[in-house]
Amino acid sequence: MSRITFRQAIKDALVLEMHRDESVILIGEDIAGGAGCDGEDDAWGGPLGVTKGIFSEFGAQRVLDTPISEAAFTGAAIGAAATGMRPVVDLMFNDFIAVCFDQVCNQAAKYRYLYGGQDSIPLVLRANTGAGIGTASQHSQSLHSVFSFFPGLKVVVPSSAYDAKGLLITAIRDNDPVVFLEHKLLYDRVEEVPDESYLIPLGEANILNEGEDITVVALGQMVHVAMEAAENLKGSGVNVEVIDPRTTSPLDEETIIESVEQTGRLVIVDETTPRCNFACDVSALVAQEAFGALKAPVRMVTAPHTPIPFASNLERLYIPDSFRVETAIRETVEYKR
Amino acid sequence: MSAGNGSELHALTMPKWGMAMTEGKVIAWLKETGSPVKAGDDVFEVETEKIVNVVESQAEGILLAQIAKVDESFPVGGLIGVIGPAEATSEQVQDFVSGFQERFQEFLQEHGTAGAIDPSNIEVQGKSLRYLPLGEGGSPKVLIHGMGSDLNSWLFNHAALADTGATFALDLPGHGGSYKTLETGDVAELTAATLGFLDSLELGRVHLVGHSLGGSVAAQLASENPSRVYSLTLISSLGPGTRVQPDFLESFLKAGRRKAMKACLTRLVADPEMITRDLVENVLRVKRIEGVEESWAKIHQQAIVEPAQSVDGAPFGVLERLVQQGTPVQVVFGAEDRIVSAPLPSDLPQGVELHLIEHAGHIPHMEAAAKVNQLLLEFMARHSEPSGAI
Repeated sequence: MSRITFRQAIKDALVLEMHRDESVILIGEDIAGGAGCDGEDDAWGGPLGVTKGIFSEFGAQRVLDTPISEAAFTGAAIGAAATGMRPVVDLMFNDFIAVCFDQVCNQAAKYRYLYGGQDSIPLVLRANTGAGIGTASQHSQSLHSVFSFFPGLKVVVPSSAYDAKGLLITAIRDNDPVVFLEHKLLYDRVEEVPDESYLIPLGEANILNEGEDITVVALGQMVHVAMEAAENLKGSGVNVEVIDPRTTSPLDEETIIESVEQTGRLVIVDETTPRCNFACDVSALVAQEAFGALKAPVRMVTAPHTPIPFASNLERLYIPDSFRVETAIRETVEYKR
Repeated sequence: MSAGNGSELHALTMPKWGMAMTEGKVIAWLKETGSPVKAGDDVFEVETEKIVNVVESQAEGILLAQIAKVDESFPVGGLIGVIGPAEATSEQVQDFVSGFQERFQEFLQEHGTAGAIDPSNIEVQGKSLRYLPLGEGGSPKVLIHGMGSDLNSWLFNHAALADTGATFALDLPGHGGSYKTLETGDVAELTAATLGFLDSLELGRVHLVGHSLGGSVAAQLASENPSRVYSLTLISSLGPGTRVQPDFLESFLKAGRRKAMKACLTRLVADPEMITRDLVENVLRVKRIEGVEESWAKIHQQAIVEPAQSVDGAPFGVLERLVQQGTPVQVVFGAEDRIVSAPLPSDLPQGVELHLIEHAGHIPHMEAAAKVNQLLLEFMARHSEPSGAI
């Protein structure tokens, strides 16, 4: 056990898997730093410093720096995966999916299906996600709902260092393409994490807090917002069950439905724009499968339907906070027909 | 029932549960001021970062004062309440409290709050074993956990036992922080590793306490090395007259998800509330570590299933030998154990003490910690070196 950051947990998972399996390679921008030119080798470790040190340990054969062309290097990685490698692509910001949509969503996601299950694409696409550090509208979106739209892609949204390590190891060993979304505000969170390799299955929710009055479903950074709200409400006697699905595809429907059957109330917290998002998805699931248990309308706490503002005061307003979650919980618990 | 011990006043203090605990919050009083308290009664409830559990009284008398308010946090060792005879005056209680607080403040100034303690690792024949040492001096005690558990399972016992001397909780091979690359996973391998551990730490002679599978290991070690053992306590262990529920460990080994694991762990206890979300999560976290499931499957087959099928195999044939050797043995069971059923007194060789703990299942050292601690301390005190060292 060591107390390490979310950032370090992701790096540890990469290093453990690179030692275990030499077909695991890293591809992305800035992951080799200045290698090959005048700059310092291994200078950055990607835009947020996650992979720093891996180039020095494994060298240019296993850590491939690329030009600024997401379409090219993501496509190259998918091709490498088709030939038996296990590439981990660093897409930097999940917003960049827009320029490699065909590669990921049309090619990688459908490859196994198109070839009748004879072959697959064992690829992990890592990307940071979310707002909160002033990276404005093109570098701050939370796009897990977009990826979850595609059958053939698995989508992981870890909320803690412990989960990040175990889920990333599972993702790397998975034979299908997995999108792994790391929230920017989580990188410095410190937590106890085992030093060894361990695997957390994809599609198994975590229940962070048990409570009988209301179910709150949240992902990634929003898990901590939900937990803060749950903690604040303890004093007023409202016991909140906080569920972190960990993965949006596959989704642990059973845990969510069972919880709502117990509590009869549901609030979903999702840091995305409100249309066609993960919150809508869970809301529809519960409306279909647990309608009879509901004592109040399902509430969704999301961002507004606007681009993410750069101005920090507006950005703060944009992101769901614990006050909004608390209010939604109170109103749901107090709801009378 | 004894009438209590004269003017003696007893401090109820914040316990230390596990290595990471430095403070705890009193979340409920379960006895009113002025009500009688027996040893083993639940007196107050404590919440730590990791667990919620009740604190049982070690003393008998009247709850004379509730020092802690509900929702107040205290460092480990802090004064929570006072128990004593009904005739104690409020001045006596007041003096006792101020005396305690003065000494405790001095202690804190000198040592700081009881910090988080980290376990150590030691190389035994080239393989790493993890253990947690607490306390100093006296006849050393060694605690050996059961299948699928680790040294943390002694969290309600370890500190209490360490008050009277050095106490070591060990992670068996394949478990916790110890090595996972087992040779066979049979009782002989686990016993050899445990003996190697005693040798490496130069523990000449010890009190052995084993829970469940740990009892099989402790019994085997004692029977092969009688000179190394002062006393042997077997908690919920296989032995003559016991019957094991074979499907329990099978479902435990299979359970990969929280729900299945919770259902499984609930069978371990008399009170299902003991099986909290955090406890289930902790077991799953260990089980997810690479190599652990394979190790446990090996140990299950080699150390439990196969010996259970052979009447002479450890631990069934061992008790007779232990008694002939003169090793003091006590057997402790929860009366509601649904995993390994308790033997009848007539099943056990003469001289072996049998204690049944009411309202406890397969993990009485967790469910009824105060009672088990008391049994352990009394038994060990009777069978220690007559050196006067406590």
